[in-house]
Order: sequence, then structure tokens, then C-alpha cells
Amino acid sequence: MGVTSSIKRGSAELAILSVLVEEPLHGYEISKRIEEHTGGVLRFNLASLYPMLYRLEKRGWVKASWQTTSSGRRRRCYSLTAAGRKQLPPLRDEWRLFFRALDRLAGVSRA
Amino acid sequence: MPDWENIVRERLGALGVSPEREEEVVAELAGHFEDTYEGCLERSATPESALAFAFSEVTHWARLRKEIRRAAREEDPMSVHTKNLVLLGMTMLISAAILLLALLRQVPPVAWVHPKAPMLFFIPWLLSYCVLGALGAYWSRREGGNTATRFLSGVFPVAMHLAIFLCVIVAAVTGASRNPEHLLPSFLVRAGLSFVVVPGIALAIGTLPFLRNHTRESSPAGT
Repeated sequence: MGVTSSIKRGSAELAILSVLVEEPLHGYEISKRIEEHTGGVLRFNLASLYPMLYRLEKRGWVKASWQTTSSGRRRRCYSLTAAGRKQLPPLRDEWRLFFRALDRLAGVSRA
Repeated sequence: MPDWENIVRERLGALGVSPEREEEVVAELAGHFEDTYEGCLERSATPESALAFAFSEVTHWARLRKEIRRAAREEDPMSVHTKNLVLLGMTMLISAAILLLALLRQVPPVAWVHPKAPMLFFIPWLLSYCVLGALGAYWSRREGGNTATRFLSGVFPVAMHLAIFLCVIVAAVTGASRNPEHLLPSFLVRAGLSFVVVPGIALAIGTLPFLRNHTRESSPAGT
């Protein structure tokens, strides 16, 4: 796997876990929430979101259950498991370290 | 309103998972398309542009199918890790058993009471256990084991020694050829020391160089 796809995958994991820590959401809501929280900078389309959700589910970091929304539609809602909650702080630390290192290297914050 | 389930089913094709799971994926993706489409309509888009926007969510259906299949096949890293550690422990145990058996087969009983027996057999055997302990800890570190796991992987063969030692005691009490001598505290202490404690220490010494963590920093690229 190349560095780019690894970074994308790692950042997607952090983004999804970060919005699910607030409340359980279904796929469409997850993508909207990420888009809103990042001012539109990060956008997950269906093709990038669901394979990642299925991976996180397989790892036991999130769990999904079918729920009926207020509009009467059945949607698969994802919530964070205890294992997923435990993953969040080390993931945050890892990214903080990464950005700090990148900043030291390329002076991103001074640019 | 488009029949999103049919559209998704046709375009996605067979996922190679159970029919129930496939239906679940189709229903879930159809729900996402439906929400995207309706979201566009709510923002005053025309049905045509809402449809086009919804379809733009997936440009390569074959790639999506491949990614979903890959995600379905992905094993839980924890179970892979556990499997590796169990495999490692068993390998160490079998290696120790082979070493012990080879020693017992190759060395004639009379040689055990030879004055140079410790130098000839016992010390080389213990040194081989140091190597075995080092191998166990090294392998465990490669598999991402923490300090405790590395140590346990290295000293795992001592479990076999302990089991044999306990079997000898049980046989001494209940077996056909009961040997009360094997129940004397002096025998138990000597046998326990030479057959369980000392080999355990040799294994533990072997693990020492591999108990420390690498201090190299890793970037999220490695995740």
C-alpha cells in the first residue's frame, strides 16, 4: 500500500471515529457531519465511506444496527464500541505527532 | 423516485459475501443514494441534476465492489495477532520438546552421572534455551507483542517443563510404579530447580535483549 492511500485511510478512520463519538449516525449523516465540521474541506462520498465503515465494523471499532428514522426509513446506524473509543486517543496523538513533524520539516504553519 | 435498490444491485454485481449480507449492503447503499438525491432536491436542485449528483457518489462501481470485498475479507487485526502469538508459543514449545527429547535420546543414562555431565550436557542445553528464549521474544516483538507478551513468548516452553514435573509427582503418588522418593521435599526442590526454575531462567535471560521497545517514531502513514 502506498503512503498516500495509507494517509487517506488513517485520516478517514480518525474522521469517522471523531464524529461517531458524538452520537450514533448512519452513513449519509456521517459524510454530512464530516463535511460540515471541516467546512467542506473533507468530503466522503459513498465509494470512500462504506468500505471504510465495513473495515471499522470488522475490526470491532464500530457496530451497526438497523433503525427507523423520523421519516420512517430504515437506515443502518453506526455507533462507537468501547474498542473504537479506546482507539481514538492514540489515533489523535499519532496525527498530532505527524502534523508536528511535518510542520518542523516543511514549516506548514508558517507558510 | 428511482428504484435505488435495483440500481445498486445491478451496478454493484455479486459481492461474494452471504446473500443476507449482500442484501444488507445493497439496502444500505440504496439508502445513501436516496438521502443524497433528496438532499439535493431539498436544496432546490432539479430532479435531473439531483440524479446526476447522486450518481457522482460512485464513479467506479468495479472498484467499489473490490473495496467492499476486500473489507469483508479483512481479518480482525486482534485475531491475527492472537493467532500469531499462539502459533509462536506452540513453535517454541515444540522446539523445546525436540531439544529435550534429542538430549534424552543421544545421551546414555550412564553419562548423566559422569562428573563432567553439567559441562557436557546441562550447560549447552541451557545455552540452547537462552537462544530459544531470544527467538521467542524476537518473534513476538516482530508481531507487535508488548513487553509482557514478548517475555511470555520467550519463557513459554517452561510450561512444558512444569507439566512434566507435575506429571512425575502425580505418577509418584498414583502411578503403577509409585516412587515415594519422588515425594521427598529434597527431591522436589532439586528436581524443581534443575528442571523448571533453571531452564526458565535461561529462557528469561534469552528474552532480555528483546524486551526493550524500538524508539523509532512512526507516522500515520504506517497505520
